[in-house]
Amino acid sequence: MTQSRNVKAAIAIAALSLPLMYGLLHVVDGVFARMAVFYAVATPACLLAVKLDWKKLLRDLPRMAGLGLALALVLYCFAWVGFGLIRRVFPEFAAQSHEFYGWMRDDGSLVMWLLILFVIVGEEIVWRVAVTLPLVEKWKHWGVLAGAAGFAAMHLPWGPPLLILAAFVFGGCWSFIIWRTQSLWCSLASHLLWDAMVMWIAPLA
Amino acid sequence: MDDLTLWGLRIAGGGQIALALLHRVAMRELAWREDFARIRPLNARLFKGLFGYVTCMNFLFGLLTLLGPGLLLDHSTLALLVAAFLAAFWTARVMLQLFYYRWREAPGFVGRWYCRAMLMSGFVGIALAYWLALCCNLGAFA
Repeated sequence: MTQSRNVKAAIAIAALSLPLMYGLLHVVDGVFARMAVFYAVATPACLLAVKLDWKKLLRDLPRMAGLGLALALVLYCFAWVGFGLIRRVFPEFAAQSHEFYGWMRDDGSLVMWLLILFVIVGEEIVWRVAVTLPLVEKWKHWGVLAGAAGFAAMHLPWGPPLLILAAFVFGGCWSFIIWRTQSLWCSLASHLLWDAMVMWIAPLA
Repeated sequence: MDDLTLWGLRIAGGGQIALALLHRVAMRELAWREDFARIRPLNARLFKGLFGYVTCMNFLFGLLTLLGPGLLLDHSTLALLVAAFLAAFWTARVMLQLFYYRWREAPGFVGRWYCRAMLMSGFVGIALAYWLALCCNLGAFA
């Protein structure tokens, strides 16, 4: 009963996120502010709509966060190699990364970094916890693909194709991580460190 | 770094040829002939065909790596893509060995710990050589 309700809620969240993001495109200026508004609406809606075992998802913080940080380093290496390959084979496609890095150069304030932090936490709660977990419970690895596709689709209204590809690939990785570990700390730590490395510590472009 | 990678690739190439040749021993030790007799002939032929295909691929990529390691390090786009393909191919083999196959259940000496450890070291070594080649082509050590 709960599983069926959660799956319906997950599909509804994924389906509604795209029109909501298209709507926000015309109302809120700035990518990070727009995403923050999106997650300010979507996160409480998800917490109300999907019933999950939070005790299990939030267990063993130090060990799961440590595993997540280690996985973030592996994913960063994967991103470095993948982006290197794209840059060599499809240089024009890789050049889209300048648009993404441009957004951060244009702002760079503390408020922007706080917004990014809020967005990452929102992404994990909405896409990994509320959407992916119910879907993988019913459809196993197809649920991972569906969660990643929904996460990538949410970037469609405003993101360049390179960012949508990255959202699909790494969204899929974080979906897989939360599926296998059943820990929000693990996917959240992995996402936070990976984003910090790609955006700030060791940018890819 | 290029010299080390060159030698790593030569060893990986030799290792791949040795692994391709050792497939014959694995077939015998795992008693595939008896198992093939129990499944539908078409499935047996399909399995044998795929097995032969993969073995030949291992042998030929081994030969390329042994005889022309410099070709995989010449910083061309083709060298980069071939190194990336082989790195992914052998990393997938390591993952299969770790998470999919249940070698403990294997009969004969292929199920023994020293045989499994040798196979695993071989797969990891080959994968590392191609990862090193890939990183060299991406200019990681420039």
